[in-house]
Amino acid sequence: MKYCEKCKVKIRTNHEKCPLCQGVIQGEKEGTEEIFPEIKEKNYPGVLFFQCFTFVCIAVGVVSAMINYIFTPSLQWCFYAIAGVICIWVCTAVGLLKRRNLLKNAIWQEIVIAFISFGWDAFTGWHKWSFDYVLPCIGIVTVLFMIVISMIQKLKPQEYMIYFMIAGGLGLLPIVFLWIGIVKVEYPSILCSGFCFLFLIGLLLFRYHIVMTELHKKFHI
Amino acid sequence: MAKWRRLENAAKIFPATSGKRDSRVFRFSCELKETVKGEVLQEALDRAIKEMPLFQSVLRRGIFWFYLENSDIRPIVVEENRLPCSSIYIRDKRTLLFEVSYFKKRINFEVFHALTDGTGAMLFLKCLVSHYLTLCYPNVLKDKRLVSYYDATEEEKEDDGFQKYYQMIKGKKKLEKIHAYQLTGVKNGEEKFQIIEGVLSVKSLLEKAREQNVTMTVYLTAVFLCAIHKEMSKRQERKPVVLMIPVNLRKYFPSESCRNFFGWIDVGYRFHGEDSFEDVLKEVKEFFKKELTKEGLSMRMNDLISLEENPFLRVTPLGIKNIFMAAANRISERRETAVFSNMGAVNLPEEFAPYIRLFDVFISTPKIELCMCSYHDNLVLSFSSCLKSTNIERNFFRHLTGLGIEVEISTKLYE
Repeated sequence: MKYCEKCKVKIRTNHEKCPLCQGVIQGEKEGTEEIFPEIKEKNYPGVLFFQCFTFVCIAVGVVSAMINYIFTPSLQWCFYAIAGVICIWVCTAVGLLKRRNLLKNAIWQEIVIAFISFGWDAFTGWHKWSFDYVLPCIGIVTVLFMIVISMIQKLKPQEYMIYFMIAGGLGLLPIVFLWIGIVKVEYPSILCSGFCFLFLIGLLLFRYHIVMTELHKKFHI
Repeated sequence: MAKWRRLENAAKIFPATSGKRDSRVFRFSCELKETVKGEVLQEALDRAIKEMPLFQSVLRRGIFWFYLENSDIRPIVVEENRLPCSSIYIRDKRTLLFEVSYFKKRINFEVFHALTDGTGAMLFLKCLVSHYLTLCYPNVLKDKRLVSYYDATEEEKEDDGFQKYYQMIKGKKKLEKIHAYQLTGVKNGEEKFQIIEGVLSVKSLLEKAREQNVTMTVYLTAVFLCAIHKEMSKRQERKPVVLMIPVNLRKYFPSESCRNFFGWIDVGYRFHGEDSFEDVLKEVKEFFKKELTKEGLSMRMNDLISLEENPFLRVTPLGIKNIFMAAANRISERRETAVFSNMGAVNLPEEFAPYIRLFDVFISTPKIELCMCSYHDNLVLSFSSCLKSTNIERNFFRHLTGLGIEVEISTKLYE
């Protein structure tokens, strides 16, 4: 065991200098003993990927702006390119952030994509295609995606139930918009909300207790 | 259906404020006299978790609060492969909130604070170690399992002590605002907590404390205060040095819960240049006498709970609540300079004594924290710190060796 004259302490772990005062210590390495293992710094490949991805996104935006101003200064198309890149970046970022829980990820993606499509629709003449087609489509796709994922991952009721309920609930929105009068093309919204309504009724009928406990858990105040 | 339970009052802050700066993880280690066998430890863990199934839980988000849900994930023993006290709770990942690992002669039990407090964690480690030893030495320790050491029904183990002892008190005193002296300096980096621990004899320290007519905790609090004071400039002396001392509320409010049930007191001292150690000791002693009473602790406890009972706060969505709790936590951190956590003496049946050298505790911290734990005559004082500087630790241990007490130091430092 090693010893520091100044601190008057025995030193059990192996050090070149006194760990307390950084002074010279005496004694042999023999008899010293580590109590913690050497642990290498972890490298997360995901971080590098995200950095590269973010850089590429910014580069695409900048380059398209440069091309725009050099070759076609009269046409301001680069804003569309930049907006497109931002949308792709946001979706990817949300996807990565919520990667550990795919069902939660799906809910987030549904909401993000809905707002992105509203935005594009609004800035490209407000033809309401986001309400007519996008919203009902992602409504159905999300529910189907969740059913498939929970089957593949063999999730338990307490792991999927709340997301099923949220996705089913979001799927009822198209019929609300139809009723308010925003939706012009009716059949996608009717299909989506009808399907989601049945889905919710099914949950209530066949999984009543689980639905109720989940609601109680999630909403306890 | 999986059982679930609310987080108890003191636990609510932990998920909201855990992160890379402070992982809110603490580790209890037991050092044996022989090298730990992984397979046997796994077997012991399987048995221990059956005895205390409460620990087999995952943390989940509700709309308004986090909650714990029983899980059937089997805890797996690993050879130590993470930095001490690095994050265990990872958002969205449904993993257990504790980990059992081993390295050479040490069995480590690391746990996220939302799951339990020091007392609960020590109960689990004791259970684990005693299973391990009985499995390792079946001939000698046959039937020596601690059948009666933890006598509580499942319901009692799950008790929320805060709810049990909460009383609405009107017109209560507010805690005064204090800005304590804050340590600054180069940090080790995210999730890197520097550990310096000293092993010494309980008897020798107790002797010194008795000479001054104080308890060991009071004595060490004073030593810690003075160790910090030595690093302060004249200008910094305008602010008091305040130590937060967690208190096991079970001692004051009977409860068998193995969940969080702790409070704390803040022990402060305003230095004026040349205060002698005896001056500090005297004031600390008085302070403990005054603060460490059932009334004082219940006042603080009620204060905390009444905040939780606030109807507006309760119906605020969790995401927003987390932001507020993190901010409130930062503000309340200003009240303290450092933390001194006393786990007390570990009791296990005498038959186990020949196989165990010591128990030791440390905890993640955004400051510097001293934990104390003793087993037989081995007292372990472990500092965990986010700062690179070792000055306070040096001052502290030099004070003890200056009294003629033998100290053996082990460390985990970062380059």
